[in-house]
Amino acid sequence: MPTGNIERRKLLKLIGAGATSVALAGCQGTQQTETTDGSSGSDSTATEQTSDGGSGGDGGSGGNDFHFIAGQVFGTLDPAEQVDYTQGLAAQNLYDELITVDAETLQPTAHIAESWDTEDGGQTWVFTLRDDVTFSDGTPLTADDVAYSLTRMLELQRGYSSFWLDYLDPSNITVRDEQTVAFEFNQAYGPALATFVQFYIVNSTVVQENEQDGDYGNAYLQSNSAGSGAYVLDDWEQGNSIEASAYEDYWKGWSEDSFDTFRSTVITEESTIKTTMQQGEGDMTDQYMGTQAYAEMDSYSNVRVPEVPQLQLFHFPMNCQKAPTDDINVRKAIAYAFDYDSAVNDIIGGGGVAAGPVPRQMAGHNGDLAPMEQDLDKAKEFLDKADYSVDEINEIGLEHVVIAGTELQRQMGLLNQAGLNELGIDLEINPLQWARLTDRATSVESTAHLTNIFHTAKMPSPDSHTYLMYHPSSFGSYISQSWYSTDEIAATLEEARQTTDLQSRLEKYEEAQALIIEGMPSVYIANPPYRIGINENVEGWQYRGVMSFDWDVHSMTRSGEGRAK
Amino acid sequence: MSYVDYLVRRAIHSVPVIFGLSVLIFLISRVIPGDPVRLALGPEATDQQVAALRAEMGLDQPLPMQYVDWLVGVVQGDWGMSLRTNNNVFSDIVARLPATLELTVVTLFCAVLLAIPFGVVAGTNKDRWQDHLSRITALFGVSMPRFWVAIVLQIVFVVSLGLLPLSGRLSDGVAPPPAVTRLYLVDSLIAGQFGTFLDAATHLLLPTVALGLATLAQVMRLIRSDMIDEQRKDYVLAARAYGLPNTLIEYKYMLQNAFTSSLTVVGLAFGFLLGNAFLVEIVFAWPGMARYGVQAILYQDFNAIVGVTIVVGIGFVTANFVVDLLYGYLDPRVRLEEG
Repeated sequence: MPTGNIERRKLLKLIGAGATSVALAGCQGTQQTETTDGSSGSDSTATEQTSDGGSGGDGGSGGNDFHFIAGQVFGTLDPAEQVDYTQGLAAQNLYDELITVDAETLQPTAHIAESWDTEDGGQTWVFTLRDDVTFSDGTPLTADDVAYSLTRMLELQRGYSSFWLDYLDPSNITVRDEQTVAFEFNQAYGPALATFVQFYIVNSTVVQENEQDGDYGNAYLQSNSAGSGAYVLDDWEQGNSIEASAYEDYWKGWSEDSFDTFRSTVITEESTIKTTMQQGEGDMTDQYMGTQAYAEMDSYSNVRVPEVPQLQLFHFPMNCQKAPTDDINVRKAIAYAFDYDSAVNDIIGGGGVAAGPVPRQMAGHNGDLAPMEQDLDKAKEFLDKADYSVDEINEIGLEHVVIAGTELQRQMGLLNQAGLNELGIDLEINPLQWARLTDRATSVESTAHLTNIFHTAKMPSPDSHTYLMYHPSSFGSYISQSWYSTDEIAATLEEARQTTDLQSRLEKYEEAQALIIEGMPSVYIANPPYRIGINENVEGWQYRGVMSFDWDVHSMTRSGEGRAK
Repeated sequence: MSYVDYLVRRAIHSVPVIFGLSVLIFLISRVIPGDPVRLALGPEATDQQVAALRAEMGLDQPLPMQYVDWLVGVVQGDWGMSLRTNNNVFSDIVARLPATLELTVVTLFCAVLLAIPFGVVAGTNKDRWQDHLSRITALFGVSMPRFWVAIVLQIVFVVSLGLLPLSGRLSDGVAPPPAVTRLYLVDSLIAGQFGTFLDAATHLLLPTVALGLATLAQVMRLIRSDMIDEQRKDYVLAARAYGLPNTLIEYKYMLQNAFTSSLTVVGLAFGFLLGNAFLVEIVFAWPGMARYGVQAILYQDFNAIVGVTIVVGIGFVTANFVVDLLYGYLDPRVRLEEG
């Protein structure tokens, strides 16, 4: 087929010509890059000059750039929807919260609201706002913006709106004057102040102008920021990176060594995160890698890994409404059979054994509660008192759910299995994906006998580690998998919520903890340490108790020349 | 049968494959245990919130209705909302697909380009050192996990030698070229940004090697064995008897016949690379569709799972279609047999 041969030759020639062009273009590019150094040129060259030629350097602006390495994608930039740590990181830097967390006391403190008061026995909360706060477009932040932002959250019903949905109707949000706003709850609501740390304020004018089909500007805020935060969104490549520049007129002001730009790149592979830090290409990591990864980063000369006690509980909630863990003696036997020291020292690699549901560092933790210790004799005593024999327990089958794919989770299951084997109890370890676990937590029947759970504080109040775990109205979430409450516990927790005086409220929570512990609804294992990797040339980082609050880039500065390599 | 008829027939065969795949994946993603809505809304979400989002996404409808709604949406460019990103899955994929396509196409191109001479040399030097070397290389390429190779490459070329960039598509401070195809290599050439082209190329190097080693090994071994078979055929003996140069015989006559069977593997390899790119994308923080797909699976983001699977499926079908097209072109007997 001569015709075919000619076509094939033509095709080959074309391919050859294309390849040659590409090669030539590459060579030409090399020359151009080398010769344009320091001279003016095309846009592309100007851009390229800011690069140090590798993945290192201080970022796009050529200024003082802060690079956070995130282990998961930013799902949303709308602060009304934020629930996880990357979303919180974005909200924390692009917006301002009404109330913030004090780094020393880990308690709620003034931020956009400079003072507050309660009326009607704690049913109405009145906030007075700072008058020097402006949004990134220069307009002042007023009570109207606060009222709109909270109404927006209640109407969208996303994110942390659940903190207020049952207690606050949008019609009961009142603007009293330009700097004063009042929220009238349907009952006295003690933890209100703490919940407002998760309430970020948006520029109502800008957002309302960009509403589409009653979406409260949700679509607009996915690719724009409209806040008063220290940084203004420049670019968001969802699933990959986020970039923001400093807002010059930020109300808290700037120091000479503050970061000009804030950038976060999504890197999910641990080895790549470690190498990025080691190469001096990242300033900070998250806290969700394995213990070994932090130990390794700590050995790098340019990275430090601070370790602080964390407002987090790691425990095995036991399903108290399902045989055989519906028997308190079985639960106590399981709790005494567990090896707490090995869990904390060998698996978690630090922190302390938990003493009840509320983390020890949290205000409102009941200091009279002692941490558990392994005691097999006591475990056997309780087992003898139980309504179920070992054979009956084994016949029913004890299931322990762990999160699939995580070594720490698996090891915790195995440690529990080893302890229970000493009692003659067989334990089935069942690894599940997180989505499946949360689904199973919605009913008593499907909730496992024991489940590995990390529970981190979302607000600076023991309410999240008591009411959300042991009040019947909270049942059905992964946090409340014990399905345990009593009338007395429920009443005490309700009283705590209705008490507005901080000290009296904390006492109520302490009382509730003592009552909860009597029923042994969980194996309270650890308050794990908080660890992150930080470049040596970053200063000012402080742990602040609530998720993402310690990643407030404005509070940090650069020491030395660029990142430590 | 004319060449056009042959192509049309092949194209029509692809439609039920894609449709069947969509039904299968849609059903699987909906019936696997777990509650992605509750997961997406966070632990404190009330039942009221969960129910509202379920209704918003049409998840309270019967499964067949959900599928019909989804299918109508797909035709209109609405692939459903991602629970992770809150975006239309279609726009999520459009944003990420170019990165994965660039990686897989360059990988496949390089793998085939290298596999041809290596396979020919190994085949024409059976049981000599060249053949043994290709065997060892192939064994390594096929047996080493891609993510492990990727990490080793990073340790050697980034940490130890400091020669190549660690991750991403471009260096810090290098702006992406003006978007035309969103393939940085192509767009940077179109814009005349040759420095950006080189930067993108150096970022591609390690991911390409990590991803393409197995494909290189497969194609190389296949060409080698086919070259050995071809060597025994009469036309080769005749060509040698005529005194034609060995290079001409090997690379023009023998390779054309030997490569026909490798073409099937190349077509399949494209689909495999598209589906397996996540192993490399995760290690090199490559912002592609495959990484998005893995996150979708982990978080049971069903619309995204379906979307990514459909795109990978279309990739497979398209690659096979192109292979069929080339088959018909390289060996006219194939399309004649169809008639």
